[in-house]
Order: sequence, then C-alpha cells, then structure tokens
Amino acid sequence: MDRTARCLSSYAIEKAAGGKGWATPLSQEQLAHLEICPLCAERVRQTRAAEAEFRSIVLPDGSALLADRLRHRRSERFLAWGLSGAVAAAAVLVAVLVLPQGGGSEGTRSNTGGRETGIPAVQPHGGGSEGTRGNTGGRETGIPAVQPRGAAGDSEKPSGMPGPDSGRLEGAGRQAMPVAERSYTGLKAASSLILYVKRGQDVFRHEPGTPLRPGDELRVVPVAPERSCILLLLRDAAGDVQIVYPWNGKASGPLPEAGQPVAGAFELDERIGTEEWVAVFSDVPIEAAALVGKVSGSSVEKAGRRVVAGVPVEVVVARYEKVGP
Amino acid sequence: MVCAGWKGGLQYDRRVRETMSAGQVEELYRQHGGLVYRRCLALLRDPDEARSAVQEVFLRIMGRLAHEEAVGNIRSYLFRAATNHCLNLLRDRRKLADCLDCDHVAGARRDDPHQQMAWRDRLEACLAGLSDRDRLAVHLYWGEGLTQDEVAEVLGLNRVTVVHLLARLRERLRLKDTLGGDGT
Repeated sequence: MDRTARCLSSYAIEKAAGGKGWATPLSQEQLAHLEICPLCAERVRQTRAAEAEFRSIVLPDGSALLADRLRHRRSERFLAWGLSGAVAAAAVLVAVLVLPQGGGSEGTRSNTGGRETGIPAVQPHGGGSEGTRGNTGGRETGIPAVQPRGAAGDSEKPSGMPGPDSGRLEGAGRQAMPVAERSYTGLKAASSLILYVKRGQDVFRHEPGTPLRPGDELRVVPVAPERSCILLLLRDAAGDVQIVYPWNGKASGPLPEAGQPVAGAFELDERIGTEEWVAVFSDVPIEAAALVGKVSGSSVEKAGRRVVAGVPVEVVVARYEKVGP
Repeated sequence: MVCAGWKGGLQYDRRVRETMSAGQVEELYRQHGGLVYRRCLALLRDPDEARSAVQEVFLRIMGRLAHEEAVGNIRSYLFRAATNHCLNLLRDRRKLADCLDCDHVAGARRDDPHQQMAWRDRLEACLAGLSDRDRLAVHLYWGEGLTQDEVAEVLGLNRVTVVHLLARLRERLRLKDTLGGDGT
C-alpha cells in the first residue's frame, strides 16, 4: 500500500509514536486521519517497535560506547587547548625575539625595483643585477615571446613549480619561505606579481634584477587581496604585447584563488631583451583593448593605481632581462 | 541532576547550555537516542551505519549546543541534527538525489532513462551546492513530504519564512509539489 497525499509525514508519525515532548501536538486533522488510515497506524506501530528494539539492543552497548567517546573527546580537547597555548606562546616568543632582526635585514635588501614591481627585493640569487642588463634590441617577429604549456591543472606541471592544485605556494628547494613572508616589502595588502622560474631541474622564485634565459619556464602568481579580476599582459623585447591571461582574451578574467598561479606555464622564447609582465587588477572586468595600446611600444605602463575606461585599476609591473645562454 | 535544563516541554535553558556535560549528553542519548537512530536508519538504510551515525550526532551535540542560540524543542532539534548529519553523508556519496522522486522534478519523464540520469545528476549537483538548511528543507518537504508547518517546526523558522524559502528552492531546483496539496 502506497502512502497517499493525506498520509502523515515521518515527522508526524514520530509525534504519534513518541507522545508528549514535541513543540506542537498532532492536529485534529492528523489525529482523525490516523484513526481511519491503516497504513499510518501500521507506521506508528512500527515506530514504537523500533523504539523498543533500540532500547533493548542498541542502547546498552551504544550508551557505554558514547560515554567512553565523550570522555575521550573531552581529554582530547584539553590536550588540544594545551597544545594551542604552547604554540601561541612559542609564536609570541618568535615574534618578539626573532622578527625584529629579520625585518631589519629585509629592509636593507629593498630596492626601487622591488617596490615598483611588487616583487620583494630579497637577496637575489643567480648573480644578476641591474648592471647586467644588456641588449634591449627590438626585433619584431610574429612569434610570441612565451608559449603556454598546458592549462590549469595540467599534468605537465614541473616538479617544484607551483601549480593550480598546489595549496600554499612555496618554491622548491632553496626557496622554501612562505609566500606571505616574502611578498610584501611595501604597503600592507599591496598587489604584486610573483614569478616562479623552472630552469632545468631547478625551481626558484624570480627576484628583481635576476636575468632569465630562453627556455626558462615561468608560472605567474598574482597577489591582490583587494581585487577580483586580473588582466595579465606580456610586453616582449620587441615591444609586442600579448594577452597572457585570460589567454588571448578580450577582457579581464577572474583572479585565481589566493596563492594560486594563473593557468599554464610559460616557456620563454629565443628573443633577447627586456620583458615586462603587466598585471592590471580591478574589481570588475575591463576591456583588454583599452590597455594593450598603452602598454605597446617603448613606454611601459607605470605601476600604481589609476582609472582606465572609467574603472579603477591597480597596475603592477614585473620586469626581467632575458639574456643568452 | 541530569538535564535539569529541559523543563516541561523540554525547553532548553541557558545555564545548562553553558555547562553541557558529557553526562547530560549521555542522558539525552538514553532519552532520545531511539528517535535519532530511526532517522539515521531511515536515511542510511543500514543498521550498522545508523548506529555509527547516532554516535556522531550525539558527539557533535556536545560541541554544538554550547553555541546554539535557540533550541526551541530538543526533539525537533535532534530530528534536524540527525537528518542533517545523514544528508551530509549522502552528499559525500552523491546520493542526495536518490531521496527525491522523478515526479518531483518539473519536466522529468519517467519513461526516459537518459533524461532521468541527466536530471538526477543536475539535481545532485544542485543539492550538494545548497546550504545545510536549504538542503534539509528540500529533503523534508519534497523528499519526506513534511508539511510547511512541520518544516518550519523542524527548522525553527516561522511559516512565512519557510513558504518563501521553499518557493525560492522550488524555482532554483525546478521542483514541483506532488504530495500534500497546498502543502499545509
């Protein structure tokens, strides 16, 4: 016998079987239905039988088990609180004793390039410096300066390179500091770009002034806690501009989740010279056409906040020199 | 004194809420474990799983009741807590849509297995994306045929709010009523 539209719900059956103690009793209509409906009467009987079965079979063992687990859980909580307190105390000690020294040395490493690009001016490795910048000749070819390798979540993500599926981004090997500790040398919550470079089996975070080479693979991590959209452009050594994210798109795309790179790894081509990654952060999508013209040619869009096509944007520029092998 | 805060109609008392002890949870289990067990068994359809789920429900109660602002009725609260817990288990197994019938879905045809598969997948994804409260409302109203008054009682909301909530969910999930007529 199937339940009809007028039959009682499981909730009402519980009320009928369980008696008092509910917020509201069964209505007169429900009671009347219960009198005439054998199906609902049977459901009430089954519910009462299930209650008796629970009390005779499930309850004895279950009650002891629950009591044991509750006590165990309480001791676990105390242990967790104790550990939390110890960790908090240790963190305070570290903050008081260690960070002031570390902050001073960080400040001494800052330079203009780091502030402009938003990339922290930490100790460069690889021996590159502003003085090493060489050829900036503008060869004009139709070959894009970078080639995207795969899309988000691709299986070709090189080991150690941050991927879309990686949690908190940390460069492999010698770049093991958390991103948050290295991303900001200027204003709090400022936007920035972080470039991760894979060269052979070595993966490192790009520092201002460090030259890159053809064949290097890049992953770009935008950091903009106050923004929701990004348009990422690359101005290559020849002055050509291409839209890298969204790939060949016409407008800004959604900002990846915090700490996540934009989709794809980018392999640098053979052209030598200065290349610039220009990230335009905004709260609403903006047309790429309004920006590409400004970034093209010899004059590079300066970093900072401005209004483009009526939309407030924040521009961040990351720059490097591409030199021969 | 165990569960001294459950006065008369088992209204919850703030003093007890702030001092909920393991002993009081055990007492709740003894008094109302059967109700929770039946809910879990009805939804999970496996006695062993139901027993395990009952334990989890009561273990979580100990932590949750301390933060609950309004527990109108302990039986309704347990009914809700048990159903929510089981729905979360079903969500993880992608079996939420199994609780709803083809007849609930607007435009779904029982004689077309491909279409049934499609609407089931769509419904599963939609249900998984709902909040706990909304998912519970869908399940209680369309899945178990509770009236709007009963849904309101279980959720601890007034009826008008539930009417609007169900209307919004009906639109979002493209569901239709099959039982209960006016739903009251």
